[in-house]
Amino acid sequence: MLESLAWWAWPLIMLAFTFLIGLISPMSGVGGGVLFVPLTTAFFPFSVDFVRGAGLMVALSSALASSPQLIRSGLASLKITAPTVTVSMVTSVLGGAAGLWITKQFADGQYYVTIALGVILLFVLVVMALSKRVEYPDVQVQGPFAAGLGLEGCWYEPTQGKLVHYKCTHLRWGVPAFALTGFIAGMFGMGSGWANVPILNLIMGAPIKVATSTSMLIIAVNTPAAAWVYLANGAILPMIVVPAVVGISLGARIGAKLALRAKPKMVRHMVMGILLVSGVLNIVKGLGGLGVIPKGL
Amino acid sequence: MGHHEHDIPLDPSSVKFVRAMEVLTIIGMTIVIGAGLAYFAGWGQCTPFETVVANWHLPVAEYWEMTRGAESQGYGWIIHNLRCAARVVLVGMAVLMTAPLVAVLAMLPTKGIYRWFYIVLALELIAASLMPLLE
Repeated sequence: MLESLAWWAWPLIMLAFTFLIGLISPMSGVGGGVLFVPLTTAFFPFSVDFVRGAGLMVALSSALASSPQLIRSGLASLKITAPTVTVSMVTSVLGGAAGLWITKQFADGQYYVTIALGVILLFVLVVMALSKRVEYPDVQVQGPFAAGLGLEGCWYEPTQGKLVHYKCTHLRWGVPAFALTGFIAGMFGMGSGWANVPILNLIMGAPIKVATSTSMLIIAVNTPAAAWVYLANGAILPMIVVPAVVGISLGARIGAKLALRAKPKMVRHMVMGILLVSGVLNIVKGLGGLGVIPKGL
Repeated sequence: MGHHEHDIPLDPSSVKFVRAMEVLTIIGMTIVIGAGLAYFAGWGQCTPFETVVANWHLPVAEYWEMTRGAESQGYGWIIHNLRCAARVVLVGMAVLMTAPLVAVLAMLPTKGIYRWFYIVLALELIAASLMPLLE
């Protein structure tokens, strides 16, 4: 039924769809790409290559729009970003090239990539379910690398009416974790906010607001490295990416204001529900494409 | 641009980073939206919308074979045909992608360990943008 839609309906649907994702993203603390890629792959008729290319641009544009203000407020840290991105950028490029290579070399490659994406999303769901976000981790002693790099800072917390100071630690565990998530993010074109936040918060001890904000800065710096590959290979299609970028930018501006009032627990459950549906749908779509199960099941 | 009452004082290099990122983002988004409007209005159209829609389910290499008769590789195919609004949109995307590199170069400290982090970061960003040309 949807295949019979006029061509101009798809950009309008994409605009409305990304606007809604933009509303949700700032409330959930994950970048737009992690929601955009699976849902678009599942419900839109585009090749997974174009979806991943648009996903990277969605993640980049929302991160570029928000990062400057987050740095000014003290929530996004350039000091944390520098050592972690230096490593994850290399793995992100490798991941982007691997994603395109798979679909280019193997006729059924895009179905395997779709299935893998579904499995990754269910893994993210489990991580989110198990993560206990710590608002203000108590880092008593910094590790030698974190202390040497001065991984600390402060921001004004309106709910407390004062400046809050923080320290980060365990850089030796944080950097390899960022390397792994950089590869996955580049391969699936979905940003890495879903993994950045738990790494920064649970491993490195950054307060949750610092973790979500610094994650946006990491996405802003890291994403172009993978996106060039998609641009050069023609995987960024204006008919998809223009409404997607405009929609996410408009939605994220309003979503950032809504985030101040929304209950984080409710939003978290909402995102987990989306991840569950998207993960299952992608696996079903991939298996259908391979003929393992009937198509359109 | 976008200052709030609870902003904390930033060191001069961070201010340069923020300003450079903001300026490049505004330029990139202006090009994307302007060229995007022209594209959807049908101005500077090089591939009919119906052709795009009929082939967008194909893997990227096959899509370009069907619509252009050749695979797209590198950046030459984008800048050689800027009469096409769709290609100008891609130029806007490229501007957005260069925003972090310009911001890192703008803030480069004169000393300390972070100078080396940012130099490596800048080299990585440049290498990532050039890598598709080597394939």
